Amino acid sequence: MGSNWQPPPGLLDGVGGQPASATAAAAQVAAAALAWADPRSLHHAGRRSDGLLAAARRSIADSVSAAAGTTIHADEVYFTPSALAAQTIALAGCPGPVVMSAVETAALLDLGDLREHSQVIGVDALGRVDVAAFGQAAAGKAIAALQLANSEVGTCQPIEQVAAANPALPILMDATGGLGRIQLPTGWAMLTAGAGGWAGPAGVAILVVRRGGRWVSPPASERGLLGGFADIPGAVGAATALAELSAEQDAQHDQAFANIELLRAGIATKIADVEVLGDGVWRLPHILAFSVLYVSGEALVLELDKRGFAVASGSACVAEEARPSHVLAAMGAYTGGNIRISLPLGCTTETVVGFLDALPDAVAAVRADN
Amino acid sequence: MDTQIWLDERGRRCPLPIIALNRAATEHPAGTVIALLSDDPAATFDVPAWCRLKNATLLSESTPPDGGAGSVFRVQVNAAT
Repeated sequence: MGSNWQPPPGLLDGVGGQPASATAAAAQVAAAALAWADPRSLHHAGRRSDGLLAAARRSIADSVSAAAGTTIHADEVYFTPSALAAQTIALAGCPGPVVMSAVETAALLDLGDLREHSQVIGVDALGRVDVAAFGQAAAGKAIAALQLANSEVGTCQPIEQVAAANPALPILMDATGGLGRIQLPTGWAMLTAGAGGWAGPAGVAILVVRRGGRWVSPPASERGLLGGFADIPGAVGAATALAELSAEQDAQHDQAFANIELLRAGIATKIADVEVLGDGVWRLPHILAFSVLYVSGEALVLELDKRGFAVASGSACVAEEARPSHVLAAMGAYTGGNIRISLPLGCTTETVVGFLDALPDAVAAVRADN
Repeated sequence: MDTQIWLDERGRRCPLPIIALNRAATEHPAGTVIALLSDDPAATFDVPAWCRLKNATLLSESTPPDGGAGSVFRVQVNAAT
């Protein structure tokens, strides 16, 4: 298994990008040769672009339908240049105050904060909102922003429970990190996701808007498309990558879930003074965060890099603004010495076992420098 | 409870203030009250988390007596930290 994706050995920062599969890369290159014209042009080259864009929307709709267990239509799918752009367009179509979890992306929290009477709801130690507290705050709000799962610590949010308790509240669900990895809940009105989360091109994201909702499409939209000139080769690459992953979702899920379970247990027993974070069960299959006491996150990332393992960190010393990850802070987690693991697609158990073997020495080396 | 040990860790970034706190906690008996003075933005999160992980009690977090930057964290060492 893992033949579709060939991540470099030691890559444990899949959220930070991984090489596209050969199939997705080839589809994108082929589309670039064909879809260079504006899809709104009436001439034959424009119609060819339009046809490829329509096929990419259909393909995304099919993949999301399979993950959601319900039919998503092609005209409910839009391509944007980033997940943030998709969220901006989603929120712009639903004016009014936002209720959002404290562990949404920093950019989304900033967007919500721009609206008067918006409210941020805290999370428990696992990083999950309380359904009752979220519902209480939802009164009088125009929209809720609640992620499918957190890309830093992996914890899933109770989307279905929040939706069931607040049937009139449209939910904007950030599915980056989760789409293609786990089944989607019901109850959301809008979904956003960056294609980088499924080994698609980093400069493509999707917005899915369920029919019959409150959302109003932005100015300059026409013929069911957002204004502007979509990156059609990128959209084709993203759609191909998601279709490829959807066909393998169960196998990839089970392998990644077992590998993270191995890491969670191994880290807790092999390292003294460590906090393994997030929900170990109701989580994304490929994500793990842990904090190692008495080391700097930056030093540990660099030490692991020297030993051939690429990981990320949410510690303050790694961030430009010298503040730790707002996700770790909201959970009340220890933020120093933080390491974020995200298994790329195709990550082997050998890589994970190799990391577990290398970690104690790397931690000891950094602690010895104290 | 009177503070018995003062640690002035101002100007030092994570993980140094927590290392100093841990060292003082291991060198002194249960019941000792340590005041950690730190202006590291991460200390606001990591001192309470360290107390939770090491079975210590965070008695208070307050502004420094000289009115300067940072916070004073008063921590009581408990048995078996």
